[in-house]
Amino acid sequence: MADVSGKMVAYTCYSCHGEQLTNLKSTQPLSTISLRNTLLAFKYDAKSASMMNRIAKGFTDNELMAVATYITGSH
Amino acid sequence: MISRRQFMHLSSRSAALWLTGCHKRAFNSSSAHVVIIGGGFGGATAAKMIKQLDSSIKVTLIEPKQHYITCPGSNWVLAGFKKIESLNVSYQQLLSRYDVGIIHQKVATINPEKHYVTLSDKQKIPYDRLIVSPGIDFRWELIEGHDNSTSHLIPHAWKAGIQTTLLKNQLQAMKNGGTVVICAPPNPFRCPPGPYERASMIAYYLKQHKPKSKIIILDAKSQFSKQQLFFKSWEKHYGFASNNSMIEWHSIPDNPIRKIDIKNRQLETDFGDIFKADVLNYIPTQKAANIAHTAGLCDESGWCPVNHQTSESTLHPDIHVIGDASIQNPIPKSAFAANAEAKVCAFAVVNLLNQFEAIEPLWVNTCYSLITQEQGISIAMVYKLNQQGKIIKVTGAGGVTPNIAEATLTIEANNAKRWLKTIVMDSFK
Ligand SMILES: Cc1cc2nc3c(=O)[nH]c(=O)nc-3n(C[C@H](O)[C@H](O)[C@H](O)COP(=O)(O)OP(=O)(O)OC[C@H]3O[C@@H](n4cnc5c(N)ncnc54)[C@H](O)[C@@H]3O)c2cc1C
Ligand code: HEC
Repeated sequence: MADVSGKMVAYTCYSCHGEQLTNLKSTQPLSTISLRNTLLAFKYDAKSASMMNRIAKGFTDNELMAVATYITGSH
Repeated sequence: MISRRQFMHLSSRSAALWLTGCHKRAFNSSSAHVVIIGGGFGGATAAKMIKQLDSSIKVTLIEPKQHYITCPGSNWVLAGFKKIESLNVSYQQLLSRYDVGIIHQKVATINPEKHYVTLSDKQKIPYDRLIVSPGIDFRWELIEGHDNSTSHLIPHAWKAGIQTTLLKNQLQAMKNGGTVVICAPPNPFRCPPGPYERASMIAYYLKQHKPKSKIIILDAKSQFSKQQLFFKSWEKHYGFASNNSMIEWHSIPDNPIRKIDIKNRQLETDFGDIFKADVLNYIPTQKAANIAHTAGLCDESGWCPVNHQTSESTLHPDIHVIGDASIQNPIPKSAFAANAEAKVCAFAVVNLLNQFEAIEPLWVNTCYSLITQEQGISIAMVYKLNQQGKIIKVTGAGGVTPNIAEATLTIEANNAKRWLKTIVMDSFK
């Protein structure tokens, strides 16, 4: 399976976080790398939570980088 | 025969090819008209997103209701902590923010060959691509003694609105010590955990106001979504599996309900078993909404087969079907899924109209269910398309609530409530 684009992945995040990602707890402006690191931490269970681990495991590392790039670039 | 409109497309397309030698964006999508049938989660999301991706495309949404009422949250109304009015959603923002044209009428017929739909007032609306997201209808022919004309007496409450209020009023009028019977439908149906969230929410209400009452779930299936989590939570809150359980679950896959005696609120099964209820919530077997059937978009299963890359119907070209009406196995029929399918469809429609390359699709689904006002559970999954064009679950992804600690279920309940606000925003605003 080919990797999914950052934009396609981002639209699936919006279903829970909204387009402005206002639902994210952190009030800090997001950097691409820190967002990617958070997503990788969820994926590999370095950080545990009620939902995000189950979601992050659905994506390749490249897709998580791509969505982090898309989201931080467009917001 | 090609219509004048199609001819113009063809000629401008070849002109562009000739001038630029470029295969992409060969004709200007500004000439394109996308018509969408049904302003539910699927249709509204598709309308909004197509305009976001390419504002030059003209989008018309056709929906008879002046405002939408979400099914998500409607079980919470039965519990008594949510007002039915709070489920109303306006179509205003689709028009004012995204310039989506909205026609409040019902589509009577679709003409797939000539590319137009006919409204109930006989007006014809031509389309280049049609998106159909009309939800579900019921297979009343499978039950004797009950149909749509008696659903004010035996409410299904499987389309939110008046039906929800009818069921709520019956529960409020019921005596302490009464029996509520919920008939859970066979697969596939809208919102797989829905009947069990409903049982939880009714139990939550009865425990406070009519604690001697009982809920009996008669299930056409031998297992159901999040079953273990529901069972454990019911044990904790509603005495499930004890002598004094408020909820009983009876699985009767080989002994289906055949007959309803409306006057006595009584059910009869195939083997002749009789169940008597004080409040009867019969949730009928389901199929794609009627318009999908009259338009010839359904196969023998009663649902609409689609190409999953584009969600285009495999039966009629240039018509896409999304949401509950479409076959998207193994993705369940949910608002979350309808929103996800609409996004895949919007990308596909915009790319097809612009002759851009197709993108790799992706779907996420999550179904939250409340057990009490403050405790919730969920199931989630991420889906991709495999080489054979089938939707598959991504290995290792998804699953249910990670543990049943009270603190976790409190977080899940809060997120369930927050999610409803977000998905409404993401789909309609
Ligand atoms: C009790 C209950 C609880 C639920 N809870 C959840 C939940 O917590 N989470 C979740 O994700 N999902 C939930 N769902 C499921 C969710 O409601 C559906 O899956 C979702 O609404 C499907 O969206 P849709 O666009 O396919 O159809 P709908 O939302 O049903 O929209 C279809 C629209 O099409 C219109 N229409 C039909 N025929 C025509 C026609 N001929 N012309 C024009 N318009 C037409 C209808 O008026 C309707 O507005 C729940 C469902 C129920 C019943
Ligand atoms: C099913 C709903 C859902 C989806 C889909 C979802 N999230 Fe989340 N997200 C949550 C929840 C809930 C939390 C809070 C942590 C938890 O309990 O899992 C969260 C937390 C986060 C956090 C941490 C915020 C913080 O400050 O701690 C980030 C970052 C995040 N999500 C990004 C994303 C991205 C990017 C996507 C798309 C790939 C996404 N989420 C998809 C529900 C979702």
